[in-house]
Amino acid sequence: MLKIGPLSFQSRLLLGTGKYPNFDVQKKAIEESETEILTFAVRRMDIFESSQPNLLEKLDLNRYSLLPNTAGAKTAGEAVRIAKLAKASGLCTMIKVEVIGDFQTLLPDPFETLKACEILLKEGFIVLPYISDDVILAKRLQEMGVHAVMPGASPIGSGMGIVNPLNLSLIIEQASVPVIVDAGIGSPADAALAMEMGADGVLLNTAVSAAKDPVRMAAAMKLAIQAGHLGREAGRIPKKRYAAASSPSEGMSVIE
Amino acid sequence: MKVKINGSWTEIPDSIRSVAQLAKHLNIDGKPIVIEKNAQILEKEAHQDEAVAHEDHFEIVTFVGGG
Repeated sequence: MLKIGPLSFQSRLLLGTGKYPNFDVQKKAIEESETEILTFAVRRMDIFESSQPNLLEKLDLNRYSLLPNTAGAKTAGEAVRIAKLAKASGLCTMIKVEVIGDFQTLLPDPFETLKACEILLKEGFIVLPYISDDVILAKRLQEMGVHAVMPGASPIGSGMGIVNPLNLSLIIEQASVPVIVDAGIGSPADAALAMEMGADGVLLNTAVSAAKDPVRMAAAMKLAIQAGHLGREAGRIPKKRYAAASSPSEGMSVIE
Repeated sequence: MKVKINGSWTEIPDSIRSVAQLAKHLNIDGKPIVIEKNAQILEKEAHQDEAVAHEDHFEIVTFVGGG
């Protein structure tokens, strides 16, 4: 069970909704993933194209918790405004705080993220900040009261997987709230590794939406996250430098 | 009357008195939207009573795909 603040979820896969080839594939991928948390962005509506269907109108919203992000924000103030706009929809209580500090790497601005979280926590939001794999920042945010921390495995959409396993493992070790690996996951192996390392969940988007077959990839990610989590709980064997026979050496018949 | 919607000045009928009527006029009532009037976010329940006046500024946002 993944617990974020007062909310509980069976699935540990959080799925983004951007960049799918079409609504039909997107809907099938969401269903196949069995996710319970969907991420969205908040944007100006094209009022002259208001007849265009919106994904939310196609989904059974009773089945999902919406996790809008503050993507596009460059400052804490902008992130807070987007969060408040999202909440006014009446459709969500959680917010993914995303304040970008550099537009080439899309790495988050730690100072503005911290500020935004402080304000939003006071406003009563369930706050999930997207952060770099910075151990101290994760700690400070937890002390402040955020409901989960979401360190990136590598830059958004890069598909590079976990580029700094040391930092990620240190964040997981000291965590007092769920750690959800967010951004950079490329393959099911990356997602499984994150879970084996002890992450509580994985948020991904491009790895599914830009896959050759998004629906099958959604299924693969679901299984990888389940496998990684189960493996973590089961406890892996320690690594050794030399072989250790699986078969007993006693009782062998002598073959001359 | 003239109001600014999402950055563009738009002519709307003078008969529109409330934000709820404006949303209906724009065919966006019932959609997952949030409306900001003159930089003030409006809760859905306020749409019925919130007045629309000449040269008001509106921002209308919705949820779109994102990660």
